[in-house]
Amino acid sequence: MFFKTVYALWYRHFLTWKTMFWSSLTSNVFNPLLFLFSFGFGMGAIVENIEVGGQVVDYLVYIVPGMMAYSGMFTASFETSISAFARYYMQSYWDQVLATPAMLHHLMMGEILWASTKAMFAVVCVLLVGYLFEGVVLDWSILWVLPVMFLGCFCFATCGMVATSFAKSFEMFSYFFTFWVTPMFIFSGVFFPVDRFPEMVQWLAYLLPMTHLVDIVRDLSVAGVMDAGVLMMKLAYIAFVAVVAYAVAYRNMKHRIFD
Amino acid sequence: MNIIHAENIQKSFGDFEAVKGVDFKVPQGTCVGLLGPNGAGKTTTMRMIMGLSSLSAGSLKVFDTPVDKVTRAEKMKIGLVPQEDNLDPDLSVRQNLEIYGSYFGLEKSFIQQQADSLLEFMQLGEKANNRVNHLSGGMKRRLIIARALIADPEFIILDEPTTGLDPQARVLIWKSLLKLKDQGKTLLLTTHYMDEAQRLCDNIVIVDGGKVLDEGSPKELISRHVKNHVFEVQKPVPEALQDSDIDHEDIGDSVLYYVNNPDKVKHLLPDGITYTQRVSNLEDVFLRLTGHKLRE
Repeated sequence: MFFKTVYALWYRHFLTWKTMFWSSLTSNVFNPLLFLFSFGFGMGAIVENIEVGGQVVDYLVYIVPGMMAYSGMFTASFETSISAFARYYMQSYWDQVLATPAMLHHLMMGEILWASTKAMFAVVCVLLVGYLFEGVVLDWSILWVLPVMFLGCFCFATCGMVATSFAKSFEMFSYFFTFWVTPMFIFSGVFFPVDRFPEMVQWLAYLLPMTHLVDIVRDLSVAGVMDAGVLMMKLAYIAFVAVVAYAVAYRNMKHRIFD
Repeated sequence: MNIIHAENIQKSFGDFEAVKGVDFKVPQGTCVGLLGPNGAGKTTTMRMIMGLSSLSAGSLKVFDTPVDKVTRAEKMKIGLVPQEDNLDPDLSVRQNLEIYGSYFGLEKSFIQQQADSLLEFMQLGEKANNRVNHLSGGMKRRLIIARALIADPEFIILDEPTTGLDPQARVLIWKSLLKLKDQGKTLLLTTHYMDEAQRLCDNIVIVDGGKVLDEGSPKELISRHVKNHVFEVQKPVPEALQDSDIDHEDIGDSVLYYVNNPDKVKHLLPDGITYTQRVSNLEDVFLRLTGHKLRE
């Protein structure tokens, strides 16, 4: 019954999203297009070659995996923060659901899994755009990259839920974006290697799950291989952040709704 | 059997006591009205019954089960019509019903069958494929009621089901609620319309400031508090009337006199006095119990 109910909630979001499919597709395709065009020209001209897993690659090849991770991270974070908060606060959607036999766990899982799904749609759009620009090769390693991306998106979605569980108004999300989403955009190695930073900053960067995700996705999609031990550690850290975030969000939300 | 049995239920939000000890019962197959001014604690009480708000103190049983132990099977037997419009604006009328039904874990074929009959029951058949955004206020309310009925509940909670609707839409909703009563369903209703309560409710509980002021059938409440007739006499009130021992209430510019026999007041009113006389109703009871002052 748990999965059936979660699926029902997931399907509701999917149905709503379907009514806006074309605008969603357009923004998901044009966002990476604009980025790759601008950075490919601007940065690509300065950075002639860059190393990934011992291979020297073109800057475009370097940046496409980063863009994939960034699109997934941003979409998942946005969906469980601003969008979920709108459903909770403005549309009373959460009250609607909780008046049925569905419970808070179902509701939150429905939100998080939907956000992860929507984020994967964005990831695949970047992948296809990257492929057209010859920034990424489509081979079997992609079968590894996509599940890892899904875990990453799941993690970012639960973190967004934490923000929603604290938020009292839309303005509150500026903290979430300034101190969480933006740092993951600029410190996690999306555009250049994290080892360019002073050691102190590198430490902080590796606290962010995004840095690990970018590492994995880049190594797997560019080099096709990664040290199994390192890979497991990184995946475990991302999963750990997701579990902690879920527990915090659930506790907060439960207190907020029922007490 | 009582569907709801509330004993001394209380709810505080920090220092604010929203519900200060309320007792009432909802017997199976009846319609009970919970009436009170804004801020009386009605919605909080409803939320506690739905398990959407925990109790600070007291005992609340739903289907004979303490509210925090209500099972999934029992929750399926309750339908809620909330005060605010929380339909899914981007989905169609039919999708709203089907999606809501899926949250109950109902079979697809059962949901579709229910959706068909409820669209007809609430006269929304022609709008089935329209987006909710394009519906009038009355249609939205009807859809919210239809949605609450999707799992064929035994007990339906209605929080101000006709607020803001035109008279035609209200009559249509009343008719459907009476039909539900005829089918043996149990209803708990809050409303600000006394005519609505008088028409639909077997029993009425009047609450204010988080406490129950009185309860009884509409007839009992009327005869207990405002007799059969009410006279509203403009000030200055004639001395003969002032000196009489007739039950009365000063409401500022005029005085209300409550009597069973209208002649008792009439012969004390000299010619040229401005007054109105009418059969007393639930509104008089409500105003008498909760006071005539404006609520914030």
